[in-house]
Amino acid sequence: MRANIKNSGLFGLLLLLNAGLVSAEELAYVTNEKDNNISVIDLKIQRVVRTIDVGLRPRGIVFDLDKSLAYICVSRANRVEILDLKSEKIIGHFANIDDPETIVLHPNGQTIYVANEDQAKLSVLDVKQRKIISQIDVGVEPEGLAISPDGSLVVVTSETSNMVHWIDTATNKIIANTLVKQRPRAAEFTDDGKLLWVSSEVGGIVTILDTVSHQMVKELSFSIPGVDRVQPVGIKLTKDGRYGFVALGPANHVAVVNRHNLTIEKYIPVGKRVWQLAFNQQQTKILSTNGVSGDVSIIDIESLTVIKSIKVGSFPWGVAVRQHN
Amino acid sequence: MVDKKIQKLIVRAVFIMALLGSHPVLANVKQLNIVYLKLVASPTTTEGFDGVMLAINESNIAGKFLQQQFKLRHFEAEKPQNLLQQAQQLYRTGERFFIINGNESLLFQLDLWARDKDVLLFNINESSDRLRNDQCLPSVLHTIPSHQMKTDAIAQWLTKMKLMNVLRLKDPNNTSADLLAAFERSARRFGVNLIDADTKSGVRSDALFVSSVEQLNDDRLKMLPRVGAMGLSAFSWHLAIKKWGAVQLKSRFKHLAEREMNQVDFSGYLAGLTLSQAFFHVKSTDSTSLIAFIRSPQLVLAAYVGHPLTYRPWNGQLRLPMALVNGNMMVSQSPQRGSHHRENILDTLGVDRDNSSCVNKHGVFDES
Repeated sequence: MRANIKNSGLFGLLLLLNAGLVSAEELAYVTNEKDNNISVIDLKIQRVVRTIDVGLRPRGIVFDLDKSLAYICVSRANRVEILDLKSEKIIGHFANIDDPETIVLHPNGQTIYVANEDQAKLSVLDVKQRKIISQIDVGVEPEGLAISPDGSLVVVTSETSNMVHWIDTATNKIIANTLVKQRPRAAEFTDDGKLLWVSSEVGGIVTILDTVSHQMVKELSFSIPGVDRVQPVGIKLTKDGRYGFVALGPANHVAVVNRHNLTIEKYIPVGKRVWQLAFNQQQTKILSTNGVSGDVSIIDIESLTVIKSIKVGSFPWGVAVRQHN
Repeated sequence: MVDKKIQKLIVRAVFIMALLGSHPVLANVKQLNIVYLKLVASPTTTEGFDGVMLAINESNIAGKFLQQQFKLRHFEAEKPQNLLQQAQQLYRTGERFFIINGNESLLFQLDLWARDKDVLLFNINESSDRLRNDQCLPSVLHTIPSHQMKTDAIAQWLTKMKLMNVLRLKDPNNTSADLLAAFERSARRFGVNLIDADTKSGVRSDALFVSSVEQLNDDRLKMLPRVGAMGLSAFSWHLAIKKWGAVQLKSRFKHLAEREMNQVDFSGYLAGLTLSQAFFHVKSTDSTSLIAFIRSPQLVLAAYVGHPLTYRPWNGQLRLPMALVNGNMMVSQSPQRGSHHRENILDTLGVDRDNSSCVNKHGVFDES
């Protein structure tokens, strides 16, 4: 009996180890803006395994710290919905959030920032109280949102005012504003928190800003022969400091930036109107949502090629990946 | 009796002043003044002005983070001469930036007056090709598309759809001669064959170009797809545009003006946006520096139409893509995909540098 228990415990441990080594099952959650649902992709078999209905016009999506919940901006329903990832049911929402588009979670796990596209405001939400605790006036059409790795700064870009607002999370006050090129869409901190990358969709460039001086360090421009509309949108930066990936919208390509010399290493063709990007846990793959073609491209980071294109719903917008044991 | 719309306009103008009055210009806040001049047709509307207002309101939101603000003043008169005198008087008190909702004659006179001055004029409603290609108007920037841009957009689409034979009707009253002449040039540019309606030799036609609504009495023509002033028409802005974030702009406009945004409102918005972009970057009210920035390649507008917008140095026309709309449906956007131009794909619409008679006659542009 005793031996049996021991054995089963060992067996369980072996299973767990095995799972860790072989890599756990990974699921990608893709918000379909026009289908009002989420496609769940199993990255191992590279297929949509199910869809989950959510509110009207889902866009930004973020997980809580232990990745058991997802917070989803459902723009037309004016709320942020809470999806339990185990039961795959909506278990609640933050109400009266006007036209939420993008969302980030503070490293404290308790504070959520949401850009209200129609209201020129950034809303600060408290998870426990499940409501807005503060609203910050920002420029017209706030969109790109990012939080510094240490949680001290949140930045929001305003598309129409062509500005990056730097906000102190301790006081919820704007401490600086930086003008960037036309229609800034996305922002991403480097893992050391020293630099911020901002994409300007109409300006056609990515601006790299110093997070202390708030000034420009470098501008990256993109050019693909025979392609007219090169419009940078989503940005992701690898933890190892090697690559920056930039989704180029209607150019239907993802640019690969070599971060050691800040040159463009490659343009990878993906689906139509590529929008947002997300890494898998190990950062061996990066996924792109392609709005017009209604699919997700999976790029292998070692070979920098698309290994699979997966049909999802109508106008996929946001994407987030988690491991699932 | 004062027209209701005028009343509303006056109320709104008072509101702007009140808003500014409650926030007096602080020592560290820089203010750029803009003048709106309107030649009054009957009845007076707020078309155009509302677009400028939206740009000013939005720029003041951004400006508050930069210690900069904008003030808009509005003047109306029935005769070009009166508006010219108004402009001269305002110039003496320091005004340099004028947004004009007028006609050919007013623009011509204002430009003549402005030639030796650090003044910039924006044409937001007059599509005349003469202003852009014969008179050149060095002090004017056009944010409204020319007739030629519209008809080139249509001809490009006809070519793409392989509708190469187009019936041309004579306009009985000659009210739309400019549009028809523009379409004839567009047909030559894109290789569209024009067939006169009185040619009854059985030539097959694929579409009908309508330059005036009055032309459509002939039953034989009812079956043909129509383009031009009816059927498929070209607009720089239309309710039917839904992509490129246009929905947000339309909703903000509707909130302000309680009506839908049209092409002239959009042109007003673009004029306001041009000035605010310049002021934010130059950070000074010095008109010479602001005009130099606006005329430089650095001035690029993001305007919810899917292309970055810039001004053509040779005639001051803002490059614009054209929405091709039938009824309330957006059928296509020109430039058509696959179009190419040596300088800028938007130069496939309207007179490009190689074909312009205004090169070097327009205000000095920095093309470095």
